[in-house]
Amino acid sequence: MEGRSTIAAPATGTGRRSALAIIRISGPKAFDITKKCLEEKERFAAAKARRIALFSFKSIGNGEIIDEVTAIKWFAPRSFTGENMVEIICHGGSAIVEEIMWELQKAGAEMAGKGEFTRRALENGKIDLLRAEAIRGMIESESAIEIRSARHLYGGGYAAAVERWREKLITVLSEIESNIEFSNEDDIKERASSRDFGIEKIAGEIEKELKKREKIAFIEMGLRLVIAGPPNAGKSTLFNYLIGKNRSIVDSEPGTTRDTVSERCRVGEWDLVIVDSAGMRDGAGRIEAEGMLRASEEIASAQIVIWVTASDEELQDKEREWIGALSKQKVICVINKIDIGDGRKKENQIVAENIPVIKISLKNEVNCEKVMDVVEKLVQKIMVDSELPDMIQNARHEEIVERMRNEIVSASEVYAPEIAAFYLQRALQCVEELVGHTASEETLDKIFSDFCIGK
Amino acid sequence: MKFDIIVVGAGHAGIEAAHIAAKRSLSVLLLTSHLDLMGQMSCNPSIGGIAKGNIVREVDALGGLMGRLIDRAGIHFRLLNSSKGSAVWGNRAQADKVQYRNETRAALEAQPSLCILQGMVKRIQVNGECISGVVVDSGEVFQCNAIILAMGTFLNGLAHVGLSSHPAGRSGEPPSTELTENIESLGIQSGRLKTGTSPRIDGRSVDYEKLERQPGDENPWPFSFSSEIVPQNKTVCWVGRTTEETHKIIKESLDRSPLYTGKIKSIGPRYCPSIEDKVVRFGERDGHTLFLEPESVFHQELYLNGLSTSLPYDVQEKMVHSVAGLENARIIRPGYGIEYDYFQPLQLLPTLESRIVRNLYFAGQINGTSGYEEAACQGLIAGINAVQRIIGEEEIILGRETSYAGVLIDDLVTRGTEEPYRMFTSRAEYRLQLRQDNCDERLMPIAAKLGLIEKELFEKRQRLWDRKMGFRNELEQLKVDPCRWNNSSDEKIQQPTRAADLIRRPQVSLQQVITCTGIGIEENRELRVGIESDIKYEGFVAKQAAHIEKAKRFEQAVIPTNFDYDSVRGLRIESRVKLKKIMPKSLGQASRIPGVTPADISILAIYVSKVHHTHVSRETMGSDV
Repeated sequence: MEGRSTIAAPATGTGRRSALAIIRISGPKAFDITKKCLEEKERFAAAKARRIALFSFKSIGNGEIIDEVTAIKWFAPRSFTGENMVEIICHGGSAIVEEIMWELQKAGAEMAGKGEFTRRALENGKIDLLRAEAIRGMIESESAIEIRSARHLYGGGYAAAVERWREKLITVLSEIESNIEFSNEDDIKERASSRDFGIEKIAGEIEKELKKREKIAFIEMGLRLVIAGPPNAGKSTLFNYLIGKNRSIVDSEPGTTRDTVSERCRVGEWDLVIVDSAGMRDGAGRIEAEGMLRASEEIASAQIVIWVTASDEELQDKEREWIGALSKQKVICVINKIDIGDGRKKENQIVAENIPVIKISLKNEVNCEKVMDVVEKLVQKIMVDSELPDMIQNARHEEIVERMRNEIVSASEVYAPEIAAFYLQRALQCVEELVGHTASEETLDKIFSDFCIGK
Repeated sequence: MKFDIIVVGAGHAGIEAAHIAAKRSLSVLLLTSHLDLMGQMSCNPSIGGIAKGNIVREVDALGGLMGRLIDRAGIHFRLLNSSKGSAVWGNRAQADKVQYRNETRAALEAQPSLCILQGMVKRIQVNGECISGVVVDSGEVFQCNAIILAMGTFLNGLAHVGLSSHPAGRSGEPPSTELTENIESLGIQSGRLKTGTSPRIDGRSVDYEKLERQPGDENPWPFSFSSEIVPQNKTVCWVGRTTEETHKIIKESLDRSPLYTGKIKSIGPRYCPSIEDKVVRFGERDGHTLFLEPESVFHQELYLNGLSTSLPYDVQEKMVHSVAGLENARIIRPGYGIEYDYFQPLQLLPTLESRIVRNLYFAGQINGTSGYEEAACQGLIAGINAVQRIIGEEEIILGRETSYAGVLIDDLVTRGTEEPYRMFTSRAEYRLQLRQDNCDERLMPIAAKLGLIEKELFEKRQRLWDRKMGFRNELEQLKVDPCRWNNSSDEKIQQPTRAADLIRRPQVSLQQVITCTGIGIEENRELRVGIESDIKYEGFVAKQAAHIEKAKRFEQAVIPTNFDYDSVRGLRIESRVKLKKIMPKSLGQASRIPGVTPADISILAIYVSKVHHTHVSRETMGSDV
């Protein structure tokens, strides 16, 4: 587009050594700028679209060859951004990429801002907002579930789901509206109240969507695994074992971990946040009690709890009470220190509570790898069981759907139909925002600020 | 002979246009095909209704005729939706169609600079890109500076009763046959629409015992702000119902229906379906409501509202007889369908002037609308703008946030219409503030500035607004004591609460507050409804205010006339085609064109600001376009 700058950026990750790197140039002067930097100027100028060819990339200043590269030309509007584009494939060394970028800037290109390529694609009508979000999702996803979600966005599944919600709203709204407009006419009974139009039902369904989202928030936040149990049972040792380094201070004095300590690690394809919590015991001091309070909060919000207890001690009534209160689906019990006691009695008592038990010795590293196996299985199960929300794939969606829920709840609480319609209209505007029909500049800025440069 | 303005057609659009122009002392010629039928109600003789009642009040606030005419000629008044919030109330009146015509003629004749002439216009004369006059059927030529076309359904009108059809403008009147072709020759495209009307029956042949009586409201509301007249109920309406037998008769006769045999190809209004449409589409219903509405106190003609049809006469007779109470009813005018030419309103500017021929204005049904009220407000706006053009003053474009008239015209010139356009409250995104009770506050200041309304009336209304504001302030300040309040209401309060806040609660009325507190608020129904509505809707109106503000800035981002859309790269082809067709005046209007996306608007904004050297801020570019 006339008056628009020409931008350039590496499209492949920087900082790591790789065999090849790709640099993209987009804008009205993409061809001119590239030509300036190539030895074979005429050949480049004559090159056809989408054909790859070998060129020598050289310094504008001293004419020295920087790298042997291949370049592809894309003509507007048949390119990713909808503008003239060049893709240069060079060797992957970060110094080479930097030098090439420097030369391109000397030739008149500007360094691209975050997500600027995708943004131009959006502004030139090549993709819609959902696809832009999907592209971001794909680039950033680190797990299969995130990729699934990005594909849902990219492939139109999401738009279809949102469309179903729009239809639901419109159905209710049109009933209210015809009650307003045609109350005098043929067979539409005048109903003064906006109740019983089914608004509550929609509100309930949206609430469910938000609940689903809440449940799977760990996909972005990471699944939380809390290590809990009585003091001095080896919680911190297990924590260190699981994360593979000494993060928690380990000491045989009971009550060493008075606060919670957490660390991120990866199990299979999932992100896990492992939390080491304060020991739970009867009659603790004030500071320790504070730690215990936090521990129980952690337990409540965790997706997985490993209850660590020692084989050489009897199961106290208080501990049995604690174990009994744990949600059975998410808890594993680890009986530690089998090097100093067989723990059989405790095992039977805990198995009786319907909790799986693994007996290990952290000191001698006996059976420790089993803990990880069981955790992995549990993670798999949680992921399979999690129902994905239709309408909420990221934080932006969540914020809009929350607003939408509030509008619909307001609509369900009022008496006058014209006021109910007022709120429902606002809920409909939220739907428009979701699919990007009325995306504001602000929204766009927000979305693209999360992009990385070069995309 | 030369006039400032010539108005063609004396229906509800034409009379408003001619009247308002003459009121501003311009010389006006009103041409009508039949001098006795000015202000004729060719369909149902009723005015107002939901959304439409608001338009009548707006027309009145802008100095138009309709409100005053119906207050005088109305014989049965009802406030529709009265159990709902006042934003969706609709005042509706049954008119005495004979008296309405008489009142119309008297009001027109009261304007000294208005000439009326019976005659059919055959041609429009154009000099270059500007109009210069008209030629009538007698061969006479009249010169003028502006023409307002308001021919209703007369252009190549074709009436259908069963499979036989005959040329007609309205029932019993000849159509206008050469004018469409003449207008097309100027480069303006025409289309074709259809509408229909119900059979009229002889009141003497109706067994009223078998019908439900529907009296008017005890205290009818006037339409006009002038309060010249207190409306009077002079008759009652009657409610009946079609039967299984009626539906059987219709179904068996569809092969003789011009609608269902393909004889009528034009599109009719979805919202005002014929009885054959209703029976075909909602076959499962055991009956449809019918209203028997007297057309005049001077004779016995009844309009059979709900039975619009173009079936043959003998079928109409059988249908009517199948309704309880109408077993022996005599049809005195059969219902008919009518096809007529219209001009796609996308070819108009928001002033209702043609984009193709200068000083040529289009108003009413020829723009694809349906309804007397929709026609009247267009006639009024076209009349006002023709005057502004001739005297060289700024034209008037009402915003969507100021009036239904604004919504109507913006919809027409931005979105166009493929079916007869009827106004609904839901077409107005700001309907909570476009109420009947505040039409005067919304529009009279504009009218007063242009001299469209009498100075005394404006001052009287201003005094009323001042009093209203005073009472509102009192209600904002008055604290209501819980003990006292809780004795009289189920809406309990814990601590002293402002009276206005109580009124904001959905279940509390101003009357309750007055009764409980004894606050002295003038006993004036209109004033009290105004106060209550202002308070009750205040919060919602405020929520929309930011939106309106934003939209306004968008409206002010003017796109230069003859803007070259081909110079804008990056616009999608679909948008480019639409923008070139409609040539929107502002970014705001462009953004409302169906199919033009926010992305297109962003691109356009960059170019427009470049051309215009005005800065369209990022904020202006924001959401909700």
